Amino acid sequence: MREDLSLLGDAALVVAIARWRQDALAEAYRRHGGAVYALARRVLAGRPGAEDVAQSVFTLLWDHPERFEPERGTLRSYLLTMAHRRAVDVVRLEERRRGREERATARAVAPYDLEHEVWDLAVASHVREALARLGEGERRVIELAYFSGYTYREVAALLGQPEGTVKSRIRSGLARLRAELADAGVGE
Amino acid sequence: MTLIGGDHDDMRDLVAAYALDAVDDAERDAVERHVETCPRCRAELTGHQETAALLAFSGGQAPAEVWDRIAGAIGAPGAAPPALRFVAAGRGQRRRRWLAAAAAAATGAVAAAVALLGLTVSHQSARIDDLAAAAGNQALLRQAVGAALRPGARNLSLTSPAGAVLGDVVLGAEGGGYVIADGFRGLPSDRTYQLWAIVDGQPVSLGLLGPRPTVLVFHPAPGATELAVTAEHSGGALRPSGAPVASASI
Repeated sequence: MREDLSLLGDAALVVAIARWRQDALAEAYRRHGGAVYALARRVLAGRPGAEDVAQSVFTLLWDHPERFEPERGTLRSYLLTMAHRRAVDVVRLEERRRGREERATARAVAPYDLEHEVWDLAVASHVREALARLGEGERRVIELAYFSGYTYREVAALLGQPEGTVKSRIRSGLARLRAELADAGVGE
Repeated sequence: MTLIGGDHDDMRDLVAAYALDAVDDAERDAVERHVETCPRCRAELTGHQETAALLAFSGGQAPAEVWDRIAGAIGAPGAAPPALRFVAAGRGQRRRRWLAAAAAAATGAVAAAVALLGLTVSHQSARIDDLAAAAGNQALLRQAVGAALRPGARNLSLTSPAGAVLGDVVLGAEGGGYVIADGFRGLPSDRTYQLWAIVDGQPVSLGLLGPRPTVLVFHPAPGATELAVTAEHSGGALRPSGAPVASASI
């Protein structure tokens, strides 16, 4: 007697994963694997390793489902957070190895081509609009930090802005995005 | 680190940068320490991470070949589940608490908060499946851990008179019981461990565990107040011949 996994919420799905149900992990992968893989590819920007990142995120969920804490956010955001961190770690490790000299040229900012990688058209357009409304300053620091994997210090150096300004722009930009998206009915 | 006024605003900015992984290793540690003790920053971090997840939503299909690699990695022989480690290391506590939270989030109520112990199997059928052949059987281990995590399960430690934990007992909500005996010293082949239930002060044999117990499934005796393990001759004994080497109160 097995419940239909596709009807389960994410939190219940993780409970099933904790009981070693591979089909539950497969369902989680079906729901979120595409986003996880796409984010890894985007941050890695042409470097190999997106498959490894996606694999490690889901095997971590399998080995340590208890690390996902439902009261601290959605499963999707948890998985994307893990994937992002791992991808950023790969980028930084590689750059440390290659030396700092080449880095400015090595890390081109990936174009923000939402249209080509659309998971949900409605959400995509809301996100694009919200980003557009941010204003150049906030949008730029968020894109460089999140999609290109720079630290806020590196972003500050790249843009010739004070570190404190970059940091507070990240916070205010994220807060504004969040409010915009909530107004549009996306997110909470 | 005390954070007041402007310092705390710095920390809030850092929390936002952390949500985008835009901090160095030392700052990462500092933020992680801080959010453990600051509910406001923790809530803010959750919000930032959810927002970042929306930015990252683009995706399309999950690639099938990546799933094949994941399935290979988790199902591969030799890729042992961390179950024994987790049970032995006592990490079950956190996991069970977490499961209760997850179940609550999933159903809107703490699921099956208390289920009565499933000690309903008749005395006659009480027995231990001889699973010596299944030594190292990962499927069984997973089953045992799965039963331990299910709401209503009871998880006990088998401890020696000196207080050492020699194994874990899972009394499943559905009536089955498991012994995960990872700390018992091996016996000579003409000896065996034997599992007993204490019912009304009397020992009732639940069966033999073999000289090198690993993971065993058994059917608990109704009314048992204690479980005990003794070392006996290989055929087993009608009554315990000596003091238990390990026991657990139910």
